[in-house]
Amino acid sequence: MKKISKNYIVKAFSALFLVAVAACSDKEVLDLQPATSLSDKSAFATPSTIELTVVGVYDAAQSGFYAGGQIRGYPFGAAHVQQGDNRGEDVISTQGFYGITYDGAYDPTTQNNDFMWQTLYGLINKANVVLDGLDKATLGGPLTQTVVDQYKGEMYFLRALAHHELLKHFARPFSDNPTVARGGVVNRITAVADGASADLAGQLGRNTVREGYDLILTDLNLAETNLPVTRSNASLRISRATKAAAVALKTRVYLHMNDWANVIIEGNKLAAGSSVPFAPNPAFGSYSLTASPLGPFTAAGSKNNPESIFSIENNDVDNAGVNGALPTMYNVSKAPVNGRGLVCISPILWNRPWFLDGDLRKGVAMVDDDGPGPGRVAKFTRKYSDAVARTDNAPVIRYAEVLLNMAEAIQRQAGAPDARALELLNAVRNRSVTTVPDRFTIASFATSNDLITAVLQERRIEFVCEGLRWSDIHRLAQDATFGTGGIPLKANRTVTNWSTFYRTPTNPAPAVFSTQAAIPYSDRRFLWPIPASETNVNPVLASQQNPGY
Amino acid sequence: MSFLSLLLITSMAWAQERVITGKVTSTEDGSGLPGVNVVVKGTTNGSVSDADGKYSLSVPTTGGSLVFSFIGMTTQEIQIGDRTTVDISLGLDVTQLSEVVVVGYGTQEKKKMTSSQTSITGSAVSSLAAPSFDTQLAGRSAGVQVTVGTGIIGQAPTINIRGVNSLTSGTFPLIVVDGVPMVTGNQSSVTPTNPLADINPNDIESYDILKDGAATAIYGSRAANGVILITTKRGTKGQGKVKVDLSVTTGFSDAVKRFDVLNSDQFILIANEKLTNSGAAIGAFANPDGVSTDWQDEILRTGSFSNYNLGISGSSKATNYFFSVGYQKQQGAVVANDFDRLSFRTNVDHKFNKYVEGGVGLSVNRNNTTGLNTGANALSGNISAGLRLFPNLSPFDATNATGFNLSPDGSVLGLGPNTRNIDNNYTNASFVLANNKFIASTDRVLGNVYAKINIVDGLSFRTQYGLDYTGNLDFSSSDPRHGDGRGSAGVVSQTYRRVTRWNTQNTLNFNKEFGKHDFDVVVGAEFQKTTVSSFFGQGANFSDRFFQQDNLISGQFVTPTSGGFYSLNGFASYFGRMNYSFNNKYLLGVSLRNDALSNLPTATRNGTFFGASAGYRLSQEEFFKNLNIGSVLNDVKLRGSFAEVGNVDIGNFPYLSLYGAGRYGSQNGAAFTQAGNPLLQWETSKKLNIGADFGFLNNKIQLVVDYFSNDVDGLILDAPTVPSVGIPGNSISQNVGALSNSGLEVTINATPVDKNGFRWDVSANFTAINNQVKTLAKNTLGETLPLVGNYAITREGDSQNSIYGFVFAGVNPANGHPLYEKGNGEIVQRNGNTGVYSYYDAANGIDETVTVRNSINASLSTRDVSVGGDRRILGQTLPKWFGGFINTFSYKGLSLEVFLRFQGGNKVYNQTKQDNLLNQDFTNGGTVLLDRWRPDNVNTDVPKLWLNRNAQVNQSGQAISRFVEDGDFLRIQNIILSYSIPKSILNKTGAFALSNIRVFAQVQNAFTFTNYTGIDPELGVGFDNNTNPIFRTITFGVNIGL
Repeated sequence: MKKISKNYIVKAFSALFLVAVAACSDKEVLDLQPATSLSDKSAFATPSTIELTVVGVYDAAQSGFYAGGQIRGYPFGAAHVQQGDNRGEDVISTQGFYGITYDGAYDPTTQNNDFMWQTLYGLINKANVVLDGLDKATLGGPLTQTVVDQYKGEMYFLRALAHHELLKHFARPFSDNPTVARGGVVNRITAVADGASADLAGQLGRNTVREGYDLILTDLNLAETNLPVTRSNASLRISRATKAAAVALKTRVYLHMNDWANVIIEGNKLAAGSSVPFAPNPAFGSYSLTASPLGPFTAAGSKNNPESIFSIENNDVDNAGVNGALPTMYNVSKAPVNGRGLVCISPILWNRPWFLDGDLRKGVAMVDDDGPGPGRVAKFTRKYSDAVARTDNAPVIRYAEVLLNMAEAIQRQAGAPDARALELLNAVRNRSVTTVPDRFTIASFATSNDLITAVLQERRIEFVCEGLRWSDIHRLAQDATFGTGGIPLKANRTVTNWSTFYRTPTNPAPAVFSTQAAIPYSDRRFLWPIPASETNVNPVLASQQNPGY
Repeated sequence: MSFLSLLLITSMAWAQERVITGKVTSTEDGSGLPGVNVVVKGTTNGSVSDADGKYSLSVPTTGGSLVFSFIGMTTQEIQIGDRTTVDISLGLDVTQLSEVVVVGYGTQEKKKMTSSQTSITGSAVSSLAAPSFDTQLAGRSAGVQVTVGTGIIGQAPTINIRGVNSLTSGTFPLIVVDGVPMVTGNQSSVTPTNPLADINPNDIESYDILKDGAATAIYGSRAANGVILITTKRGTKGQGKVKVDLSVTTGFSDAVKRFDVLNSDQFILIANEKLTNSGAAIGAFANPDGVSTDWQDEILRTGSFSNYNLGISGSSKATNYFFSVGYQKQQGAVVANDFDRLSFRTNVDHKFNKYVEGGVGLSVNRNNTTGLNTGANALSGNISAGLRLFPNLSPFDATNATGFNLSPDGSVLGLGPNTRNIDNNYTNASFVLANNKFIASTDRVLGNVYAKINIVDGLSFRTQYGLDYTGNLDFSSSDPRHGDGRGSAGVVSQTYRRVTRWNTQNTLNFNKEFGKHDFDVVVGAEFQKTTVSSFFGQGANFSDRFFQQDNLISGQFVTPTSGGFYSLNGFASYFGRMNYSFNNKYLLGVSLRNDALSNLPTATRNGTFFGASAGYRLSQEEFFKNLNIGSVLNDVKLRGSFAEVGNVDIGNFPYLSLYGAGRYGSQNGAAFTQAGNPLLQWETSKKLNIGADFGFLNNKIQLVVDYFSNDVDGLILDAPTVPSVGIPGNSISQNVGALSNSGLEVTINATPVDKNGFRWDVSANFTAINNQVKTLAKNTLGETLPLVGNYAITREGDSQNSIYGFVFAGVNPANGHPLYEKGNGEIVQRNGNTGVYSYYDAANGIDETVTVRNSINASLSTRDVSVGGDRRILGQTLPKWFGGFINTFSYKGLSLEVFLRFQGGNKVYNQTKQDNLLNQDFTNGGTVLLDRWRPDNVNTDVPKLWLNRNAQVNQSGQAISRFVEDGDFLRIQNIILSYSIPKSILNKTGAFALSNIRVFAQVQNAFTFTNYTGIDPELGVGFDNNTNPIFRTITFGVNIGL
């Protein structure tokens, strides 16, 4: 008996020991919360975390993911510029990097198109999720209704920007038939944060182009109402949306809709006057042109200047990386710049008689010659300067574009060459064309169309290497007078040494270079396909693929 | 102790007539064996040998016989006759040794086992030249597939026990070292590291691979992928004499195979044809110095291997101990890939008294793994370089400041005699390999301490605390002059990552026989917590290369970056198991475990898993023993088991909606990074096993047959969401998947010949396995969403991750364009230049435009053939069968082991050939290009060359049947020849007394028979894309026992 009772005591101790260990450990090992992320419950809990989630949507605009989790500046940290340029004829993709885009060799599995699609929709949903969170946030402390509205305005602005980029690449232009069923892209306006909402949203098909533009304008109008006039921090004034950003984007969007009157109405908010400086409007941030055409650019200039209305911020630790950043890809490869020389200015643009030799935008401050060594001897832009730390902001819209948007709209409505249209054109052009005899006067234009042509030419020169070329090709493709009729003929990018093909004062008769065929508007390649990553899992869009893919 | 004293006392009481003395020695090394029981047969009269193996015993005058027995040794019976001295030597009893096997939270007698489990002794693999044991388990057990993805040292293999048992969650088995689950998975961000290499293979006593549900169920939620139990060496009780084992191995290695690349002349021919076909001027010219470089000479080399190991073990009355120190150094056959390890281990067990015993086990390691850029698509990736760099120039250029052949601006490879730069900015591999560094230094401590209290006879309590600590310091440095660091003017990055896991286990064990009823019961609780914390510092734009050599140096760079990471998870578990046997004939096992996991929401984080098994030892039946067959078939056991287990390798907090870091330039942000699922639950794996064990001719031939099926249900899948709804990562974790692995395993161990000192042992295993995906996520229309990539598909009804793409239909002889077969059987051609598709008309082959059908419909659609598209499954990547075949021939001290391994029934996608050997860029390529279409070579499978038109000519970026190859192979894995110097020659006494010397020579990866045209069919695990070759290693070594 004695023995047994002793055993029972030992057993009882053991059992107690087991239980004791269990009791103290359960909580310690089980009730854990993530330390590296906020949860959906904490993300909208305080004014400070709400601010973080808003910035997180800009991050989605700056650096969405690329294949294998790489960062290549999709959609607006760099890629919108690179894809927009390489779809046009004014640059050359000197290597294979943007070759698929440049050659029109894309198919539904092409990563460039795929990740542009994915990151744009990723941006849109993040904006929608934050809009949803803002609706549920409790006001208090620094989080006033004004602040909440301002945040919402930023979300509307980014959502509009993304929808418009999608429409430019995946849908026919507004000037085609904007009401053709399923001709646009899918408009996304509700937050998708879980399986149920994803299933619901996944059933939606493509909207019409008009519905897409209507949504964009609704968003931009809300953005204009809610956004602040400016920001106290000079760098945030450019990198975060303002009233002027919404208005400027509207001038671009209305231009795509050929809605000249509204371009002018919106443009007048930023530039009301009839002559330089067009009465900068303090209610809209008082934007103005910089003195030099390089003013809105370079690593330092792009952060703080009066002309950039909205740019995506990059800095040394957060940028599109060595395989994506604008300064890396667009700069010469020669030391000490050490860029990669992947996108140069094409002789197609350079050699045009209307791109004058004395234009500052051809000068050494703006253009660099790469070399020596074959394969990359060409003219490269200097708009982006910091190929090492890659800190240059990525331009989205600047005041010069608003002026030229207005110039075109005004002239489109005028029967004869219009003085204000000319003044707007000259404001941009004359800061680079400094030789007085080379400058335009009203007498330079016989017809209204001549002046419109001059505006369109000026856009190509002024905005080269800013990704806007595709924007114009797209919207003008169907234009009877000014249209390109599709993707224009391009320089043959396999040519290795371009030095003899540029017209310069010392090379007045450049050699004829080989070219790549134009792609007509009717060709499937005018549009990007809905990527296979989408159609593989989305039967709705699989049945609404762009024709030919 | 009391039993032994009792024996001594009784023997004295029986002392009569005469005394026998003698010495018991070990046949292995001739040393005296202490602790051997010596009993007069049929009596309780006995004695125990002393520390020198000597014994003395009184026996009746009538003599009789003595029985010498010792655990682990063959029991021997000797007639005494009229002798007064009986010396005897005892040999190891292999069958008896394997009688007790390690199982989860305990041990079990093999004959009573009802589950499926394979045991492998450590010595079978420890002498092989490898940094870690895991790769050496390949082919040694039925049902266990071990595949090495690349030849890079540090690369952990994939281990699949009875198939790939998940789609997107972890598939690696649970590895348990001396009862403590160890951390697995790569810990470095600069070069692959294998945490299993932190265990010195020489320290391992045995591997026990738990395969079926019954064996693994005790591990509950972690059991779905099987479990490997590793037991390290300990001192043997009663061993007495200190045993010292010294082993030295050294050797060298080479890549098993190289690619056939174009030489200088061939390159010039092919490259210029690419250019001229595309309307460009020729750009490749002969080198005036006649240089023809094979860049594979720059990226590959003859590697070296050396391993030194010293083990010391022994025991005293109450204490056993084992100490070891090992050093291994390996220089890979891939340039810049090195490994070295210094390891220490101490295992000590002590019996304090009758009730209390305890012990510690501690291993401390330092590993250094040096890696390189092996990125398949990286511009400085080593294999890309070997295949693509210009052969008509030297890697070196004395006139360049760096000494390497670079372009004047340093951005790419030099031009050499060519007039255009290399496409895609490929860099000079020699420079990159010589100047860029990737080093991971890992400190690993694996420790455990236990105490065991023997409460009453048969009942004991055991408590154990285990710690697994990893500290890993990564260092990478990229040279500012050329390669990946040039764009940032030099980059140095360092990451420190610390992983700590503690694990406590408390178990009560009850083991007792009541007549014919035998019970073995264990109940326990286990708690574990794992914490990962890491931080990194990086500098870019350096002042001087001098400061980039060994560490990040403050103040010497312009752009600093830093960051960090922290994660944690834990679980709490309660479990129990009972094994019951009746009359040694009817066997039953039941286990139950409840796990609670921090990675799941409170509502669903508890799961209960059970397993049951039964066995029937037919051969124990009297009627069976009396059958004729009973004399041949001496052992028959029928087994069956079923269990439901889980997989928790699902990442941290997959159920939460998260907002992670979302930095925007200079502004801090938090971005929506994960869409949660609050309903997330356990995934379960139902494992069924039916098997039988047979022993023939007194176990000379052993046969084990098992049928198994794993039905994995409620798989936690990253269920795809439509990209255009913008869910981060386009997926949400959901319990939506189901798959099954079923198959047959056969293992045969036999000794066909054992005569006149010559012995031939055979061990063969074979596994046939069928993997089928049963269920995947569905969209709102109820349509299943296959997991589709550019090269592979996982869809219901097929094996997972199958090659998926277009059917290649040859080359149009008329124009050299590739032909494809559409889903509807029509043949289309793709213009190699423009990429435009058109219908192919054999009668009018050159026409690309004329027929009315040449609408957009000609182009290939990435949709499936079943829905009118053109893609279909081109082959299964998972092997359908595999196995191993070990032959060991021994004659006296001489032994030859030939180990064959085979695998097949699967296809391999040769993406290396598609994207690199056949590339259309102004770069080098493979000799396969020589057969390209030309007007004078129209009957070929290699289309016409077009500069930069890789997608158009080779459909790169997508799979086509042209690059699908058979993956079957037979490999002579190892050949080992060894010789043990006869003991009679060895010096047995004095300062240099030796107990054994064994010298050996071995070849690993000796030869592979396969039709696969790439480097090796096993590389890349179904998708071979610029993978580094495996090595053929030849080593020589010696084992010395003191």
